[in-house]
Amino acid sequence: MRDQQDATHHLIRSDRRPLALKHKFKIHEAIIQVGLFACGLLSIFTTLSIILVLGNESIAFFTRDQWVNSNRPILSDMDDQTTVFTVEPGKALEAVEESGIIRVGQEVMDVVEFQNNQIDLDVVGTGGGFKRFCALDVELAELGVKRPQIVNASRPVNQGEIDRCFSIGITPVAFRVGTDALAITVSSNNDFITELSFAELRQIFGGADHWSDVRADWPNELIQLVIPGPDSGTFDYFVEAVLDDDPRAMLQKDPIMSENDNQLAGSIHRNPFSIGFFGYAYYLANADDLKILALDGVEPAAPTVEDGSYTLTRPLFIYSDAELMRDQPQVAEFISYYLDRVNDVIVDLGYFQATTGALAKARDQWIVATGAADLTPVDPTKVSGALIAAGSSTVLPLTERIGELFVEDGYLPRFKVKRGLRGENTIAPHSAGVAVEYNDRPTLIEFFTNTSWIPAIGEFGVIPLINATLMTSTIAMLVALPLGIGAAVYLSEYASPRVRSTLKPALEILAGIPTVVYGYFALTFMTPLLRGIFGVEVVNIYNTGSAGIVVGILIIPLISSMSEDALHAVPNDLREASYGLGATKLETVFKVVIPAALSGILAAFIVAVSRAIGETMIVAIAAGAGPNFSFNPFDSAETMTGHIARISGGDLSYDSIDYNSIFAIGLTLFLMTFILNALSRVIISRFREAY
Amino acid sequence: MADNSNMQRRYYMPKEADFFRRLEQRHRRGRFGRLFNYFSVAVAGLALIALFLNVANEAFGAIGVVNTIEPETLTGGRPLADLSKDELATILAENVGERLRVLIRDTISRVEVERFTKATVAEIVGDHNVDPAIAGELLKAIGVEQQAGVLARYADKSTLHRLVLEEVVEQQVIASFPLSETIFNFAAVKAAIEGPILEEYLRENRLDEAKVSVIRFHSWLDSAFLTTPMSSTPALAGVRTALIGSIGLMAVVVLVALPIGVGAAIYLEEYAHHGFVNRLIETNVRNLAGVPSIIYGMLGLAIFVRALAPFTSGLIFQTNFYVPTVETVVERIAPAFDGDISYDGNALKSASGQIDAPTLGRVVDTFLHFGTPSLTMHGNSSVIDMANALAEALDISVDVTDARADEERDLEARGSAYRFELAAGASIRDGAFDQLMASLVRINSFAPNGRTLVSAGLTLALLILPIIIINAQEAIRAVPYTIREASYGLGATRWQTIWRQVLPAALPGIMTGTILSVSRAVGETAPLIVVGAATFIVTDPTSPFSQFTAMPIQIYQWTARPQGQFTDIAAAAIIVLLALMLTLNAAAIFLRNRYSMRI
Repeated sequence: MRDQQDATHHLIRSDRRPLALKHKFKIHEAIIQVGLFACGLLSIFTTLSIILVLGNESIAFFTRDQWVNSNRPILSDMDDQTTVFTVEPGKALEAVEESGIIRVGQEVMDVVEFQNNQIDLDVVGTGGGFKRFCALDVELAELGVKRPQIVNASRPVNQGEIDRCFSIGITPVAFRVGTDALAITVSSNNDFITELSFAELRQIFGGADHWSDVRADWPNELIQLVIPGPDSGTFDYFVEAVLDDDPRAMLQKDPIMSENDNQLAGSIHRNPFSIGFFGYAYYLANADDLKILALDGVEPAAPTVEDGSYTLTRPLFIYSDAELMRDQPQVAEFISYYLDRVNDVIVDLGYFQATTGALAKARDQWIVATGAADLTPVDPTKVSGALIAAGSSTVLPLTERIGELFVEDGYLPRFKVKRGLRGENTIAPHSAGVAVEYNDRPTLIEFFTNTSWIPAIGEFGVIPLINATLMTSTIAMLVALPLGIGAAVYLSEYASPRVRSTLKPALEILAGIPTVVYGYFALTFMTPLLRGIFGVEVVNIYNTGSAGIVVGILIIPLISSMSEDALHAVPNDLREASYGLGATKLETVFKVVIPAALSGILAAFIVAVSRAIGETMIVAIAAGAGPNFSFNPFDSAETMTGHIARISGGDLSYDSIDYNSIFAIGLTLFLMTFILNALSRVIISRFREAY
Repeated sequence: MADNSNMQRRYYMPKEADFFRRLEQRHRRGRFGRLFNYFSVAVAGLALIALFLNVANEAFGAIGVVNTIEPETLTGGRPLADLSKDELATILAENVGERLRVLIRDTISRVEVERFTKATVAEIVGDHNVDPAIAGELLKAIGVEQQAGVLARYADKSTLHRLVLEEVVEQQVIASFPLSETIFNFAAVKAAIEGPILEEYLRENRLDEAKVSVIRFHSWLDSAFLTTPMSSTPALAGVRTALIGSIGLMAVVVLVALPIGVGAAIYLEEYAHHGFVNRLIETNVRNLAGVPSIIYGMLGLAIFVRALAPFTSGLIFQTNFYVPTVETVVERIAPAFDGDISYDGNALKSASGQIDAPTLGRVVDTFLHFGTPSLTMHGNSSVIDMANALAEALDISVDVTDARADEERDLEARGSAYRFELAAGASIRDGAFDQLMASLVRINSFAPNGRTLVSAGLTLALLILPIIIINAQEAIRAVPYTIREASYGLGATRWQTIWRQVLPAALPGIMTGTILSVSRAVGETAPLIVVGAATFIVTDPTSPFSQFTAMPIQIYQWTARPQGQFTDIAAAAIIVLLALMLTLNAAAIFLRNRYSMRI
């Protein structure tokens, strides 16, 4: 009894204790639990590190300095704070305007001002030049051209043009720069003619057919005219000065016409009974083959042209405006330089110097227009600002040559920079000839809009890569979706359990084969197959079509397995009800079962798209290397994944834009697949028909 | 009235004839639909069959072989296989000259070069305290006969046989044909090999004559294929290195992913209350399973290869790694100079200040083999850097061509081909050597290199972790709750229950899932490419911190090469890989069937 009581007592006492036993803190169990929790957390860390790594390197990609060598500068006086220096013109310099910083050696500088000094020359004819010179701003804007500051003119301005200019407050000021003469030439083999009178010249180019018609002692041979084409100013001038503005008679005589003056010279040389005319400059170039004719006993030469005794001459001018020259000193400086240098170059170009008096008058004009005391020697390195000239093609070579000299002497694009910005911050002198580099960072907008990916020249547009990815994925889905759903329907609705139990593992094998093997399959089986069908010329060895089809085969099991699960989950009641209404099996499948399982099939579809986008090896092997923006499935093109694999598989330096760029592509890829996967889960959980 | 007609149309009943016609139509459509479904399955099956046949077609077939030197002329009529080891070594010594030393180093030794050289040289000179730094030099110093002796002693006969074929006979496969043509059209194949293909070969190699010594059926997959390392000659290449690499990867993956994956699954199934963090983990695991594998590769590249380089390169364990300093570099290259060379503070002092051309060649050789295993491989940015530094310092012209631009498909050419040429009268400029030293120590190649087996293994482990977790969760969930209750009822704690009851019951399921995911990891290629599996490597990985290559990488490289025979050995390698995977899958299925009935 006592024992029993003791036992009861014991029981009662121990009855109070189990609580303590259950909650007794066991340190090793707690550690284990924390450890297991850490294992769980690792997956979150993985995701975070993926995002961090991709994000971090992508930011590095977009903020990384990409120094591109532009050209070689000529450094002049670089002082400590801000400085101006000139550089040789180059297309790349225009980019500096946007980026705003440049690097010389190791020193990074802020571009405060960039003046892309250059001389703009337009050939629009003398009349066209004046038209632009005196046009209203609106008219210029309509044409999309700038008002020339200098008009190249091969004739004096006429009254109509003067009136027009006056109406907008511009007074054309003429600067005589030279004289052009027209040479009348025959072949050097021609032995019967040395001089002509003006009347005979008119006859030869007008009514006469045979040489004997003009002068009786000349041979009775046809006159072969050799003339510049009617588009040239020379033609116009000749017609105006000799033929009273009526070229018809000349054109009726079947002249040899060419815009190529050397051809003209050749034609004249070959036929001793031919005669022609062109600018004196071109005669000089072919003087051996040709014989120049005196006109009214006067041969064109410096003195005869200068005193006007040779009649076929015309004056060459440049025009500007006094106010404009004062407002834009670079124009005045350039004209001054022009007048100073023109006599040095004009003879080489085949024109004649203007008379000393005419040139002196031009200098006086300049002094009057600018209000300066005298015409001082110009230092082009001090001149800055745009120079625009338009007008006659005859004057163009002259202005062009003077312009070249102007640039040679130091009229160049120039930077005003602030020094001591970044990099090795010591402001050290830089020697002349050091390259200026400008910063060409890829921008986010460029990344998503540029249609070429050529890292070597700083072109980072992801579109061709995305395009190729979408090409292969679309082709893959076109193959996999019908076949995958077909297989799922077969397995779920048609197959007997035994067939099903053999077929499902077979499909799983298909899904378990490494993708590199599929890549091999694509390259050695599918591509030759496609080439056999469509022709070797049509189908490239590496093409997105073949890769896409094989990616499709790869994801058939994925789609069929997920869709089959969805179809299987549709309750039999629905099918039976459908059969009960007299539907055939196919109708039941397509009108009842598939709609009921649609959310699952859709989810399978999206997961498959995501898989196809992320697939690497098949496209790396079979789709080709080298980004290519093409919609042709038989063309080679590199996908995002293929590009990452190729770049990282090769020789990759960690400190390079290539390294950063694959992470930017990776981030794009990651976001695409992540969104698709999230979408599929939302579809499954939101839109699932629960039975 | 309008309503009425609508009503009529809605409840329109077809006439009997119409009804049967349409019924017939519907059945026809049904039959067509069923055909399409059969077709879908058939396409999937046909694709599988085509894939296997295609691989088999390429892996076997007829080949035509041409020898540079006929074996009979070497042996005086005896078949090569009958020769003894010494005779084979003598043939090698007579025909390869300077290369013998390279052969000794590259082919016999599977251990570290230095240790090997030291051991053999010590044996020859009889002094066991030979300084490893001069052991290599000593090996150069001993005569060719002695070197041949070393070779004959240490190499086995099959290796020697292979070397003779490779280096002396220079057996070359000039043509290979797929299995289908070999079987169905052998006469045409034979005619093609002896006719146009041989002519083409003669023309390309500017030979007057050569004869096709053998046309025979050849299986690219043979025992030698499994046991020889990579080679740039397809006929001699094998997958040994890759196979060992893959197995090593599997080991790392299982060791890392299995405990963590199962741990996470246990936590999620047994401990987690349905809170925010746990839901997050669950969602996250499923998200991770859908991330493309190449993204994991990039993660591995940034974290394991770069950020954790001191760990993954083995630097902190001091294995297989050696950090050079200016002093050690000088010490290493000093023997290559004629005069004494010493490093004093910041300046390198040389007695002569001049090196002759062969010496300079050895300097270059020393640099290229120094310190970093990556330099023995093809293509690496450090080669360019190093070549440039050398060129600058030693006044030699270096021809570094980046072949990537024009030969994009050729992986081997993808890196850089480098060639050193001596400028006339090469000499060291004043101060230039200091620059060289500084740049050599600074440049990439001497930084710890994290492109190792362990980096790749960790990357793959992360990749399959979600799959292991999901599979393990399912296996654990499948353990009936009654077992847990019984265990608790007997007074076991939660961990005791998990450890002694739940895990053993779930183990077959967990193992099946793990094996399947490891089999997936073995086939993964993209992450390995990104993490930086070596493109060309002939030495087996000896530790987790070795450079490595793996089966899929090997297949990828061979596939990407233009020469036809690489396609054949790629096919052979695919068979090896598929066999490996099928073995794993079979093991998984066996486990599933054997143990799934237990509970």
